[in-house]
Amino acid sequence: MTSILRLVCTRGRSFLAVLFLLAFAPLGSGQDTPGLEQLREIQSRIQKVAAQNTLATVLVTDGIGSGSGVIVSADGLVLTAGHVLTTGGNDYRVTLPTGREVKAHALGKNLNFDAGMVQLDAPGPWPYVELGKYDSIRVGDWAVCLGHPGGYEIGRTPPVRAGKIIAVRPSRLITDCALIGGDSGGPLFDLDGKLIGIHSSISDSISMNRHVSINIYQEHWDRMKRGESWGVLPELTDDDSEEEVDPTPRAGLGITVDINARQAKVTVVRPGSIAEQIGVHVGDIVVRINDAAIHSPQQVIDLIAAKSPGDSIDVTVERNGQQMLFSAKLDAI
Amino acid sequence: MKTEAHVVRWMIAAALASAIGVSDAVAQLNSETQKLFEKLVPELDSTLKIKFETAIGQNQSSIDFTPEEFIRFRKHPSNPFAGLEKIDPYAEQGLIRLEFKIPSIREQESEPGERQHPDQLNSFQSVTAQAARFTVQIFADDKWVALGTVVVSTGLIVTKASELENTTNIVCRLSESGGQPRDLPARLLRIDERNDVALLKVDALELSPARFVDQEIIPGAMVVTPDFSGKPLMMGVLSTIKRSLVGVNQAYMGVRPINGPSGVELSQITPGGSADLAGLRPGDIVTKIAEMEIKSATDLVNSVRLHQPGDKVKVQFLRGPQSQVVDLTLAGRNMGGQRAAQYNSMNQLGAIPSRRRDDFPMVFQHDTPLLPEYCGGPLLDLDGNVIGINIARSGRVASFAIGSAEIRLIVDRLLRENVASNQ
Repeated sequence: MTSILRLVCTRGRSFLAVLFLLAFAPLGSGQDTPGLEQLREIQSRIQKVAAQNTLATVLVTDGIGSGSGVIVSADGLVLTAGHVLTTGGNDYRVTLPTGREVKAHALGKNLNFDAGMVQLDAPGPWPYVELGKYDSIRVGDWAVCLGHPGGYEIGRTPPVRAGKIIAVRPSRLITDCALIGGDSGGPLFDLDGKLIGIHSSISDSISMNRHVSINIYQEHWDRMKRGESWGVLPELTDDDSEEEVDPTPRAGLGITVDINARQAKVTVVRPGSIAEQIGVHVGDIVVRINDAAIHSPQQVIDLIAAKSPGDSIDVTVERNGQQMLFSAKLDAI
Repeated sequence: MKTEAHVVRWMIAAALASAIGVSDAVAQLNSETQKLFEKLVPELDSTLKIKFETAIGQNQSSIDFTPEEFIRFRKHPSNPFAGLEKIDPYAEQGLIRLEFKIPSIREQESEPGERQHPDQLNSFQSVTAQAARFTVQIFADDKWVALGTVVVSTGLIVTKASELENTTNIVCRLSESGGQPRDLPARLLRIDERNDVALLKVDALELSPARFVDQEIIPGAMVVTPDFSGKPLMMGVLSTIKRSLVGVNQAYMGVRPINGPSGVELSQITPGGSADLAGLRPGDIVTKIAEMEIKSATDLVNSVRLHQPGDKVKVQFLRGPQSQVVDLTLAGRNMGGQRAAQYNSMNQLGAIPSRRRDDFPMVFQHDTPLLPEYCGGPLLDLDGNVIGINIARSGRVASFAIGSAEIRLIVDRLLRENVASNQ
């Protein structure tokens, strides 16, 4: 029985255990056997990667859960896993391998892919690592992993682990670099010392360690850096043999309308949504969106679907015979 | 619902040979499978439930289904087995026998492309070949329990002491160049408890002792663990420099106990600590922790230290005249009890930790996914130097080794003590 676990150390919540099908890409058995000289070369590169990048490998905690992270700019931008920023606290602290503690604040996160960002709240310059290229990652390559397994241990540098890239998926990498709770958000490097992934989850196989691939951060960089948070953590049910559907975030208001009703009557207002914040109530009837008069529930769905997250819309509803106008910026869902 | 590939493969294989009438002996239930069955039972309808309960009760890993039952089980949302859709329940007359088995970690083979695959390990052949001369395989009561390292040519061997606990009949297997391996009975001479190192003696005169090389530990350096015949068992890289693990994984209850007039009294409770979360209060008199009678504050401290962070213990105490029992999850130095419990279960994913894996005075860490029985033997660098002795599989991400400088001191001390005890 296989379970996939996210690697943040948390207090209250028990981890999610979901079954999945572990299927590797066919690799063939004719792998080259490296000679001793090649091994020496790989060894010296692993050592160099570890030495170069250890100081930028940090612990990220909100006092409730603890994960890892890696500094990627001299002014203290930290990449981590999205779920490291969902354990419940607000005040983040980052611990450097030297033991120095720095205050930090969470920036944005794209939970669809388990990606997140944190900013250190003290002036740099900070030690940082360089980003790699997703396109140059190859199955069979060696990779080096750092992190703070089990949390920060005084007198222990981030333990170095090395392994092979077992699969490259559209948004993640799978390696046999063994990870455990506390490693979440920690860095995976190629043998040039470039950051290619961020630790995310494991299964009960020692060879199944999953990392968010660097392209995800690069694609969503600006939005995360601006502090936007969107998406939902994927269920840890995972068929790794299939291509992932790109969950490009859709725009949403946070209401449900009864599709079978004659009018666009609100049946659900999702807690925490923008609709709730601006004061839309269950029972309200949507009569106008921007300049369009609404005659059917389907119109509401279509008009919102055509928008992007962050777009502003004006919504007029009818409540107890009165018309009320709301302005809202659409959520990402 | 899906499950892991090896289970799938197995299930398909099982399904092909599953028509009833095959009167094979029914395989025993291994512990992983039993756990899975126990998890399933509360979810199933009564007929299926009885089948799985019976299998657990009779320690059998195979279950017979009628085609209708099979279809019901296959459709059940909590059925964790994939591949069942490939079975045609009406293909044969009669019942469908399914053999359930989750292979243990020891049986799992690495896939091509993984770092422990034989294709990769072959590269280390020339590094490990020489180690056949000083690496031994150790059996206790006919079971492979550890590796060992020859330290003196006259048959003195060191190994991991705790793997020999409660065993009587120790045998060392040595390789003979070109011949059959040679099995020699061994005597246990001395034990260094703190370092978990045992000194053994076999009747042999011309063994080649390992030469311990005090190499600088540079994280990222490759290491390889040889077997007694000089074949590479597993590779890894160095993870950290040397450090002491004494007390690092100590369990805490979050109380200050004093020897009071009416027993061991809790004078202080750490807010948010394990005892606090379990509902203990200052003034409570602790009488028992996990079946151990608590008669003094020292008893309390000792009983807690017998456990690991994350362990759940029953604490019996008096509040006024009334005796009560609470479940308490012990905390660690860096983690609360719940977190430690989660970490412990993750630590066993894809790993079998050694029984003794903590409190070593000085070790370095590497990422070789050792099995417990791979400990006690030499750890080599890419030049074939013995840079230490594997002393524990800690869990999923870490193994520990005692460095050459330390092992030399430990061996010297054991040898001196042995001479002294013979005089």
